[in-house]
Amino acid sequence: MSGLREGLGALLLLSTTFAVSVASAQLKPLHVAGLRGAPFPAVNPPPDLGSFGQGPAWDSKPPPGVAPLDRDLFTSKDFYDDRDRWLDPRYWRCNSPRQVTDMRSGGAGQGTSDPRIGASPPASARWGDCSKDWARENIVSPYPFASAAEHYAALKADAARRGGPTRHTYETMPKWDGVYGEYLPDGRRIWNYGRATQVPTFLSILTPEYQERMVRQLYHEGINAAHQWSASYCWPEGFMRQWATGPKPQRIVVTPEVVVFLGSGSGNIVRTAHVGRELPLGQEIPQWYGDTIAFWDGDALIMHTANVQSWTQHTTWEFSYEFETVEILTPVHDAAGKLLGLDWETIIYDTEALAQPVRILWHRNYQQSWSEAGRLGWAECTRALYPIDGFATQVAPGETIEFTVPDMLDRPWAKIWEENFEQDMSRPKHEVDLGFN
Amino acid sequence: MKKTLLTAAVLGGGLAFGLLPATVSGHHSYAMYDGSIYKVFTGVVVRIVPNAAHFEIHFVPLNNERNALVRDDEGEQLVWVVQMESAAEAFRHGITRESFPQGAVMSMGVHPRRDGKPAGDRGDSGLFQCPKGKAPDAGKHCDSVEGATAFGEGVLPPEGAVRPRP
Repeated sequence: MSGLREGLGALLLLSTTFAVSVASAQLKPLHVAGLRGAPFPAVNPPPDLGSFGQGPAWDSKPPPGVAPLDRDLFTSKDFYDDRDRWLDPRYWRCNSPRQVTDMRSGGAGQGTSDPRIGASPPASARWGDCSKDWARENIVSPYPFASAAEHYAALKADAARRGGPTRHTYETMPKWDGVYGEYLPDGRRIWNYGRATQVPTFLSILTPEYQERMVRQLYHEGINAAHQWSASYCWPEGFMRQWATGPKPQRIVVTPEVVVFLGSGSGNIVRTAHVGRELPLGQEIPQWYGDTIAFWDGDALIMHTANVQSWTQHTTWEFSYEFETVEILTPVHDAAGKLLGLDWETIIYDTEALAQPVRILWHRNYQQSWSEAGRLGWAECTRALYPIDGFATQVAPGETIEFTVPDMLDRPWAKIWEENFEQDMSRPKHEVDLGFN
Repeated sequence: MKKTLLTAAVLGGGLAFGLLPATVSGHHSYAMYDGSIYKVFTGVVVRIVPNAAHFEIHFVPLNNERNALVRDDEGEQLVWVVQMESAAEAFRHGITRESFPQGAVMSMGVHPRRDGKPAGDRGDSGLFQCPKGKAPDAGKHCDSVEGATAFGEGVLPPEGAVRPRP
């Protein structure tokens, strides 16, 4: 018996050592000053922002030394009137965006017997940890470019100085084909999940109009529990949901002409990076996952995506038709040359939504080859939830409901909040200006 | 002098669309539309919806004087939705998000829904856009405005019962 314990202990030690060595190799892409791979000023991925105190005793109770505002998100009747408070963490009781949206649940897809909204919602909502935040300087782009096109051109020029872009053949191209998972060192997720950053820090990266949109979303999720998540209604998930809990690029196929990213979950994703092509790739009609061009710089794939359908991502920021990205995929190998995964750096440019460009660095860890993996599952969403009185509600077959057809390209989530929860609010009127009265 | 974008669009996009079918199969029945009549509108574009099977234009009609939007009983803009050809065919006619920006004034005929709701199908109607900043004279349409642009072939049909083609 003791031999078994020792054996298990040795195995555990070995696996721990292996995990440490793997972790240290990842999220450190090649740094080319001013262009790519800039190190983060802080730990990445960031640790989640915790709750300050657990259990009913902490209902509405601020951390010691923190003076609450006389009116905050959880006591306000009209968040539009609170614009001058939005950038104070105490307005949010120091909760992260994800904590706000999960106030009545145990997280996405999980219930709880002790919701953080407390016994007398919403005023009894609990506080987060005011001493924690993943700061703005860790989120904004460290690069000097104003547009994705400019950044992409600079990366290409850099490759050209070294004889690139690299033109791969079937024999020389990186062998990335396979199945990938999300890399979660110590369970931590990238900042876009909204778990590590105080809401005001998030808002500070947005333009005023898009600040209002995010505040509105958090208010209705946290106060009314009126979550309008795209997958609830079988709406498209949108481009940015790759960096949250939406469909992710789980599988990759590489050829000399294209690199294809496939995934299926709450929706489906197909992204095709066209190697050696230029934009535009086709009709100037926004695509849900945009149009992507790419080049190889050695074994790194550098992509530029534009023509993306403007959309939302729940619990965080909406993005506009100006949205574009530069993505740099750099392989990570162990000492024996085995592919561990891809460091995936994304710089997001959106002059309408973002006050300045932002950056996400995550890692997709290689799991297995296509032949080792099961089939590529492909789900088509069949709708079970409908908005009833503003709440995404499960409806049984045969039940008759009143249903208002959404205007899909006019922010249907916002229309639901407007019609169900904002009758007495001072929402600025945004009638479309068509040039006629 | 009206400009026609069909030729330019075909020349510019011909290679890209060389493999696309010349005609598009509908993916639903047209029984909901009253194909025996046309309503002819001049209105202001709210947005283009580039669904793959059927392009849509959402617009608010102008009044007969062509100086104000038509509104519903509550004073809200009355939006009409018109189904058109496929996105690929629309592009071949030069109809894109860029060429039909919000606020553009355009005219076309519509086979309306039989139940009177503000939606319909374009049928074989021509599609015309007024020059930026201009609207037709009272009771007229964009095809009467100097400098108007035609998208694809066809003319504006007469209002009312569909007449046999000459």
